Amino acid sequence: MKSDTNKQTTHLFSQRFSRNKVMELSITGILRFFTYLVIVLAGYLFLDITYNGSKAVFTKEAPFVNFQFLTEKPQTLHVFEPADIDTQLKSAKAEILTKSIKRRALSNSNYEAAEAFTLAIKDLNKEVKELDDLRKERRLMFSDTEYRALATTPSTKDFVYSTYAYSGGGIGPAIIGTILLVFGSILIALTLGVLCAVYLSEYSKPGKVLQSIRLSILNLSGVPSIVFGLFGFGLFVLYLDWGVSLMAGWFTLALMALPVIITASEESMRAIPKGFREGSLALGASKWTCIRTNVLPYAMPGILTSSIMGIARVAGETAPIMFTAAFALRDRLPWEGLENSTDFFFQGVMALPYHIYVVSSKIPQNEYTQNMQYGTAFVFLLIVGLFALSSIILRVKVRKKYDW
Amino acid sequence: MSTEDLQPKDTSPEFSKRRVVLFGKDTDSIIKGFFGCTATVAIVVLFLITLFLIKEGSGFVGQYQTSLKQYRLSGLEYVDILKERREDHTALMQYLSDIKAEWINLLKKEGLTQQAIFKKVMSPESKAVFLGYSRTSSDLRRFIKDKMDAAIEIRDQQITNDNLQETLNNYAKKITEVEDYSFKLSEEDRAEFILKLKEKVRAQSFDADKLETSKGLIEGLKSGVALDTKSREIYLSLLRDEFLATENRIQPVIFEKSILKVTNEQQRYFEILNTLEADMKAILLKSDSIELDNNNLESRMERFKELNALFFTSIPEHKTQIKEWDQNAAVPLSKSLSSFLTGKDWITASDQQDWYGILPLLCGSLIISFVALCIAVPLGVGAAIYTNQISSPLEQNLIKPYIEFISAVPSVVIGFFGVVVLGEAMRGLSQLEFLAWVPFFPIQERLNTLTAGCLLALMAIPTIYTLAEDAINNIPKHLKEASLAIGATPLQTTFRVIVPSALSGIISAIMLGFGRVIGETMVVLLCAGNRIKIPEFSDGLGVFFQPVHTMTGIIAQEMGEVVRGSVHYRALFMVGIVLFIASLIINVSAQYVVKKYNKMDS
Repeated sequence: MKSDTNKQTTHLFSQRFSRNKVMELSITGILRFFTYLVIVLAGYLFLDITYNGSKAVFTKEAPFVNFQFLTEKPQTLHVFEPADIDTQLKSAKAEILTKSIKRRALSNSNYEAAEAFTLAIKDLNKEVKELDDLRKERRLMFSDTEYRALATTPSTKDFVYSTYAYSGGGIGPAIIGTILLVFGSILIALTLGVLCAVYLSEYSKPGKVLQSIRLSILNLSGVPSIVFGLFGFGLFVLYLDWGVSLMAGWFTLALMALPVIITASEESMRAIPKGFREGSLALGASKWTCIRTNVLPYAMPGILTSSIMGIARVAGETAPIMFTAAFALRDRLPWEGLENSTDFFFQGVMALPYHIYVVSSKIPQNEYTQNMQYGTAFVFLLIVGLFALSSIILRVKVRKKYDW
Repeated sequence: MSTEDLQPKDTSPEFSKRRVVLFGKDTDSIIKGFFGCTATVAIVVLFLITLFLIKEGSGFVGQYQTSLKQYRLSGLEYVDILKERREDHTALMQYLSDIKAEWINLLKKEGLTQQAIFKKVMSPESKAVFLGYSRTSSDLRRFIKDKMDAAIEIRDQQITNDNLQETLNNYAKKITEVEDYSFKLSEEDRAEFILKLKEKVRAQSFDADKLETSKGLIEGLKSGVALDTKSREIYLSLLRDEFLATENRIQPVIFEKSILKVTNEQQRYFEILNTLEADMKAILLKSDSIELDNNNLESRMERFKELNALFFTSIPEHKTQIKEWDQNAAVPLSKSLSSFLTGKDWITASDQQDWYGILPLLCGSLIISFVALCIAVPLGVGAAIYTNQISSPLEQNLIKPYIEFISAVPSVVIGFFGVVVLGEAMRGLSQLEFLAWVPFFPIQERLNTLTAGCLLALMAIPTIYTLAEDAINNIPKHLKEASLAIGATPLQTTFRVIVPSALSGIISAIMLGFGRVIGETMVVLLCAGNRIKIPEFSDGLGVFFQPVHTMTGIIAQEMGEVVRGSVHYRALFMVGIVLFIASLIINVSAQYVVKKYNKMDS
């Protein structure tokens, strides 16, 4: 009977599970798994930074944004932890450690005794958690300015005192520095890059020379950013003696973005059909009029996309500005305390990427430094992400609009 | 129709506007010239990068040669040859103490008490072996230490001389400048002059008459009086005094003579070696009396003896090497380049000799790239195939921008994530008890090759994905349709028709991904552990858990603290050149792969 029912469901075109079919399904499954693995891993990175970073950037009360963190200068954090609770905590933790060692020692031999230890450890853990909450409630934290303004510092008898560099205050100068660096460098790179692309695609005579120039520019866009940093350090900072300054950073970053912008802009200009140019030239327009009215407007979206991508790249790089423009700590804003107006261009600034490098490599990881670390990374990711996202969206739209 | 209409209108024609002509050129060619100029500037500046790198890097060869010459002349090289035996002996000692530690562990496992173990390990026989062995080399150590100090002294004297010579040259230049009557005091000179005058006045080294004038002069200089004939004379005399004083401080090093302090007592050294050999042999004989009671340990002890025998056989060769060492042997220019390219040490700011060998950095970069590509290639290419061939359009529209977005994540953020999350997670994972069977667990360093490799894979995936997806997308539709028409399943079509025809594009995507990985700085600087050492490939898979340093990382780490124009500075530029060339080769070959394929297609 059983075989009969089977026969009824299997007709000639029904799905049959052959070895090949299983193979196909499993290969598809593996590929799907790979794809989603990438998505999940990257997603975890985004979520982790967003979750922990938003603790620093957002607040639970009214304005919901921690403006202090976004505008203040980075400072040393002074922490006073209540001494009595600290000692209690330490002893409780030591107790847990000894108990767990003892439990491990008799884990197999005496089940009941081990169970008793487990229970005791559970209780202790609860106690530790309560103590920890209490400690968080009673501890005092001051940034540098607040600490100096204190009339009387908390006595060291009642409090355990510790300091953490860079962990207090905010990241205001770093945000401003990054914005200055990005806009200056992109201004230089766009002017040079677009003009160069117009010449290469519209005026130059095609030939071997042009081909080799195009190829070498393309190759330069693959050169590691640290090499550009090395070059900028050697030429601008040392040889031209500009010192660690905004100017040096601008030019280094601009040179790094230049090959990308030239290549992308030229490509979007060359993608415009010949007919557009020929039509306007046939009507008697001069070459420049033709470029101005019939080439640039249609190439503009492409140039814009590439330039926004360039901004994202420039803003995200750390290596080129490490020795050319960035300071680990600078408590003056760029426009404060200038003697000459030219000094503005020859001063180092703080920058978000370099600040992330400093706070993640130079200070220890703990609950006090975490806020600064994650907060900076979150803000930085947000800024760069917005640029990148707008570039991606723009590109998708442009593709739909101009399809010739 | 009136005749009026046929009359030409009085309005001027469209083209009546005269063209503006400047310097014999019309507007259009001026605009063209303007574009041409900017294009030239941009291109020239880009090529300047190459030139500048080569200019700064090329000085390295000569400077490093000088440094190597000094290394030989001062006898440091001789001392390093001496040190080889000492290092070998230390390695042997290490081996012996390993045996001892293992022995103690075994005894503990057997359940002996502390005292019983102590009694066994510290019995007179074993004490004589373990302690006696380490004492054998004390004479050797002392001897080598003395020689090393002597050699360093010579080298330091030479460096001081070089510095003094430079100061001397500066003074000489200054004196000729001042002797010229058109010379004017700069602010810096003025301050220096006042300072020196004050010193002289305080030291009372002038006679009374001169003292008064110089006191007056100080006041005059402070108020900014220009140099007259008299004060010029005083300034010159001061400078000449300085010149002579500096000249006297130079004590020229005669290498032929001073080297004797290092190379004398060769006979004594040989005697020391002989006694060392005899002592060691005597102790080895005693070692049979220790009862290790374990096959493994005993075989290790046998191996130890074999190693010792090797040590003894190497001594005669060592002796001839020392005898044949020649202080004046030439150091060719090629030696400095080859010791950069094949050197196994990168040691800077040491009190002996600085070494600039790129191998440890190159190995670090390559091994991290290898790990990254091992992860990124299957994931990136797999995801590309999946989105282009298998997934639904909705999935495609979501996944593509998402992965493109990953490429915009700044590398420093990824590096930070590695330090804070991945490194900790990896250490936590390796310490779990049920994973203890995995070899190399628990790992010693949370920041190692694998940590950096995993993170770099995340950076390489978007590059590989985007380019590979493009390549697959560009395959003509008819290939797919033909394959489906003859009855192949979609997956067969994908793997037997589409992937092979897109293979060149995929390969070039992988190469560009490699280029991105090898040039990445921040992630490796933060997460690779930064230990400058060639990874020990003898560890098998354990090599992936060792911290390494990379070419990009070393530039980022050391560039901030070098003196401009020093050997170290130039060595970093050499590393930059190597990176530059590597990235060029990768890019060009990726383009070559694509081009070749395109020719085949048409």
